[in-house]
Amino acid sequence: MMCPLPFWIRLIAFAFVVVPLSSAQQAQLSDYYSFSKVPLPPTVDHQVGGLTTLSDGRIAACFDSGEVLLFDPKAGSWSEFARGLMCPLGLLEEPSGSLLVMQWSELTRLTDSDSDGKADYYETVCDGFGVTGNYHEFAYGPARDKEGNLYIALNLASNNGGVLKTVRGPWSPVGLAKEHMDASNGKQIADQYKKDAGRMYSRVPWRGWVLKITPEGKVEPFASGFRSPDGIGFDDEGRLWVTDNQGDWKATNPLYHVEKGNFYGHPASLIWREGWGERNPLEVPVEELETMRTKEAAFFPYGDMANSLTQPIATIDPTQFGLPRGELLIGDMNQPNLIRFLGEKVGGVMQGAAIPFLLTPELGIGNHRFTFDKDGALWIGKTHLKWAGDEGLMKVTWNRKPIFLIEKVKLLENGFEVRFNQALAEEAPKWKVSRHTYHYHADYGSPRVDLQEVELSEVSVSNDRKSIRLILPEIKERYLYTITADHARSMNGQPLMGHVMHYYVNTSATTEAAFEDLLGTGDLSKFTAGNKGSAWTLKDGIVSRGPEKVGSLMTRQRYKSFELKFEWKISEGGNSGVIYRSQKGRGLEYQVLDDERHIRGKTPNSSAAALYDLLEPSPDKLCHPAGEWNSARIVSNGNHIEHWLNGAKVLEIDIGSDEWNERFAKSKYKGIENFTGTESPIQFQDHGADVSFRNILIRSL
Amino acid sequence: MNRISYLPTLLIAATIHVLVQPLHAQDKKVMQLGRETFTACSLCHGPDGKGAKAGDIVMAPSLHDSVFVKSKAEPLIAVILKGIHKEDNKYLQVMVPLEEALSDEQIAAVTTYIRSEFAGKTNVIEPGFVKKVRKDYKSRTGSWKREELAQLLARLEAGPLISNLRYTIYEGKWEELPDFSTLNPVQTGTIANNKITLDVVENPQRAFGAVFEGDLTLKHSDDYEFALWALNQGALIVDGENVLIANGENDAAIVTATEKLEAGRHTFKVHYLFNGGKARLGLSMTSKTLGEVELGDRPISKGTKKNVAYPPIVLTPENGEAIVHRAFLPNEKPRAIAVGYPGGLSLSWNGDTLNLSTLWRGGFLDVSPHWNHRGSSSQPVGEAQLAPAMGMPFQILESPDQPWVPFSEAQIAYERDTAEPKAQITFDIEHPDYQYVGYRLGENRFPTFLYKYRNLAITDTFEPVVKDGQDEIVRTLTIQGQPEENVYFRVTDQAISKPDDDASVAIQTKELAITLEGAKTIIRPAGDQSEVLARISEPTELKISYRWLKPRKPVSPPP
Repeated sequence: MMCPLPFWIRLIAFAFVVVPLSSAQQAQLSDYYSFSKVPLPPTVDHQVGGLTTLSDGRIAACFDSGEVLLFDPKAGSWSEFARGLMCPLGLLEEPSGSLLVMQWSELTRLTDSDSDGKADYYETVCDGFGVTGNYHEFAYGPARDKEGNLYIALNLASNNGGVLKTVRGPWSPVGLAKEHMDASNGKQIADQYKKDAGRMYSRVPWRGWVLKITPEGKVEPFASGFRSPDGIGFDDEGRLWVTDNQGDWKATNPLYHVEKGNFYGHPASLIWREGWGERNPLEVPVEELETMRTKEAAFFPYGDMANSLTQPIATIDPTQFGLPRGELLIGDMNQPNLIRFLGEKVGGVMQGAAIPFLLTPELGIGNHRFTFDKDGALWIGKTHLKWAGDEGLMKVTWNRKPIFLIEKVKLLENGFEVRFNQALAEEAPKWKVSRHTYHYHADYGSPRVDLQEVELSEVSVSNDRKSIRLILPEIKERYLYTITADHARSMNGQPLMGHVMHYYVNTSATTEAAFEDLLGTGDLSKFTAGNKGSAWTLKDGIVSRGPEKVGSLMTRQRYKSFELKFEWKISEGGNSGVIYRSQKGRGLEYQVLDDERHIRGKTPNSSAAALYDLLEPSPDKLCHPAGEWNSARIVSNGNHIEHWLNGAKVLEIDIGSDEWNERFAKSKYKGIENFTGTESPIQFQDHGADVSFRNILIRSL
Repeated sequence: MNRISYLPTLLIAATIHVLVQPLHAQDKKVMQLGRETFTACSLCHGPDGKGAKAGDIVMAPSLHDSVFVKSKAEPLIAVILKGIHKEDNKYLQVMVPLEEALSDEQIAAVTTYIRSEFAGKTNVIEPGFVKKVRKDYKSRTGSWKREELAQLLARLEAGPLISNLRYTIYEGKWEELPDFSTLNPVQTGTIANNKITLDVVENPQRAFGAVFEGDLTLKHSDDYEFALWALNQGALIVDGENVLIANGENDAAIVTATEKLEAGRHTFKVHYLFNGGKARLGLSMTSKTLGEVELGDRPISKGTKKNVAYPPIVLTPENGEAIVHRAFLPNEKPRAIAVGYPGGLSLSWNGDTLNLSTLWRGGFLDVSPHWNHRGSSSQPVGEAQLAPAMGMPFQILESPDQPWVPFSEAQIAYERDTAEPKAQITFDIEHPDYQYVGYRLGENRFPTFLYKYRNLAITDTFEPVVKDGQDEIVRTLTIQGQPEENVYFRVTDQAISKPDDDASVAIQTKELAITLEGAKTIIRPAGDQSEVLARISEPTELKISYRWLKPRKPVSPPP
């Protein structure tokens, strides 16, 4: 909620002022943090692929030369735990004390079964993915969720290199003409391969994917569309975050909030999507990919920050490292910089502000892997792998001196609210805002498109002087806003640490505000029920049908032209639906079904997401099985109808078109007069099966 | 030494400004693109090219003072393509490589723009030139170091080192380099671009000899390291003295020698002979001032990268412990695990085939290609690898004639494959009967590999036995669980002797004597050789000994 206006003091009608940076306004990092190099044994290559703090307080690190070493802070010495691993790029301790390590071709569990301090059992946890031998097929992770599932991320291969004579397959020929993409067959042919393969390719499963490995060892493809996802990790709320690297289809370095089934933009990996078929993903029109992909939670403008992103790590208790809890810190390979990401949920999706942190030569570059030790110091493992970077291990310690920093950046309908952790000085910061967007295309990276400075229409400060509101003429979606606060000082004269914010507006607050959250009141007051509707229960934002048939749940308000977003979860063998524009219960229906077990799932026009008995969803629809959530969207705009499932449009039709007339005549609705012509409550159907809905958002069109 | 000096440029720039020709419309377009592209550069170098500052820290150096901007276009393009290694904290930023981010057009335009804006140079750089430079530096990985850039500039300034290059070709087959002066040439001529090349040979399929001679003009007295790569043989003679002889023992062998040479003109000759296989000739020269200069058309660094660019990193077992090292290995499936035992015996075990793949001795593994590149195959060192029974270890044979299928592979050909109809790729499909479990390290870190085959749990472990000049590896394979009918283990497919059923007589391959205990064997033809299979009818422990027939070659000391 916005603060009541009287508490906000309008500062000035804003005029854009260019103020050169001066050293006086910059927070001197050495006042707050000390940087020290941690000596490493000369026997290993000092490129750190994984870093983690063990439950007993020791630090575990793995190195490009294949070792896992343990550092005992009490003794101040290193010992070898394991060796002979291939390009290990991630470490995680298990509750049993074993260590998981991600190698090039498998996830391995290292166990010290005789307690002599060295692993003696190298157990394969997951090798359920392909390896071609291409130099770019790095493997990252694992990250662990609260249920104990593991997540790993797999790079695409690069056409800059070849593959082994025998690859670990199966090999997909889709869209590709040729055998090896190296020059051994003659340069001309090799060049043709490269062209056909695409700059980055996924010829074996599951390159370009995030995989989930259950505690039982089952491997599930989780999300696709990645290019070089060097960072994977969870935040405090249990959200999975993955960073990717600028390149083809990646305009600049993105951060993604990763959820099951989503596609994150690089088409090469689509080859392995269930039901994808023989289509060459590189030939799918960009417009179509646009409708399929899940957008970035954040963009880090190439050049300004992060030419190459690494691990995201959740911040810890603020008394230990000085940063608020609930943020992500993200590493940067090419700049002496870490990035704070302050996320917020807008319109149901995560987005937020990226702020440079520890931007100082003392930090150095190559910042690859991170862990907080038991005392709250941040350990940074460095690498380069022959790209720009560095080597070694660094420890960053906060000296407990309070820092003046930005605590929150909140998107408003017409601007931003920036909240500081201390009151601002009387002298106002000089604000500067610019915005730009990017192309989504096959080219390598994107220039900044439509870059322009934005004049602020108003700047106001809250009465506690801790918040600033920046009001802009408009907020545009899919634009990256760069907000600079020069000369920001706290009341007691402290300079601001991190005075540039990059906020990528995926969804604007206007879009969000336009939707009404039908469950937002915390009760079912916006609904009525058919027969015994009170038996629908609402718990933790989830509305579920009771154990017995209780009749459909219906909105109190009537709609005809509207956009409805909701998530649904069906029980095994279950059937339900969302019925709209109905008369006497008969109208258009978004089918909700367990396709796998329910007989109607066999008929396309009565399968999940179908426009029931009228139009089938596209055959390559992605539908999660019974017991899992699916996101849905219905657009009913005049005569135009669209059904969406899990981020993709699966059908559309115009009422009254030839196609409509033909289908209507064959349907069970034929003969109904003025079918679809009326506004009606929207019905969440009780069809005799357990079903749940959540995040029901609606706006009239 | 001719150091690079940072000249004051203001005056020069001002003077040239007057001389600037009006730009053509086309050039204006180039400048516009250059200006746009420069936006990214300006974030660090500043819109005025003087270097942006973040507080007291300078982000990147001024372009006004840059020798790369003032020099010819090539070094500037090379810098934009590859970036500059960060060697100190003088500047906050690193010059990142932009070869993937920018097109030839963009680089040409931004080079034109930078040279025009900050050094007053008016010539327009063509995308074609950028393309050429891109190609010239294609094999280079990693950013430039400052020292290398100084060498690059010095090389450009030094101009061509070789002049007056002539060739003489002789036909005939020699085992060693002959005295060419006594022979009659079949072909003579001059080489206009002064690059040593075998392209001039009219009949390169036949055995031939060649002499290249010319002048070598040096600006600096210095130590010059020459590298010669000659297949089959070659020699370098400078000022009448033999500097190098390459006798082509190894496919990738190159020889190097350092000569102290005075500034001025020298004469040189390269003698070369080709008598079969691949014809290769490369010559390079390296000095502190110039860096490495290729004198031939076939870059030394390309053909022999693994030997020259990166010194070998050979892992050697120590303290009586084995080394278990996962790596890509030549001719193996991706999930290979190399094991080096003390005493100089090594093997590879493959997580894709779940079996012993190869045995070798006399050294373990050179990991330099992997550690220095990204994900390249590591190289076994020592004697040639032996593969007594590559592929999957177990199979059910319904009849004695049923062939052994060693790999769970499939081949794919491509519909659009018109240029080369035979092209196929082999891929390994996960075999439903096998499941890899991992390995345990026992005493002295000797590994025991664990996997499942159908209902059987298998452990596979090895022990080196080196005594009395004989090399032997003893393998123990335990098979737990009741085998189904007709389960066989393949001992080898290369037997040349005929052992009896109980294999108390050694099975012989060309290189190994193999004995087996714990199961009855059958022998059947496999190509020119025989296949020996052990029938597994009960839970058992197989003991298999692999003994090298020949004594081990002495390890040659490193050159």
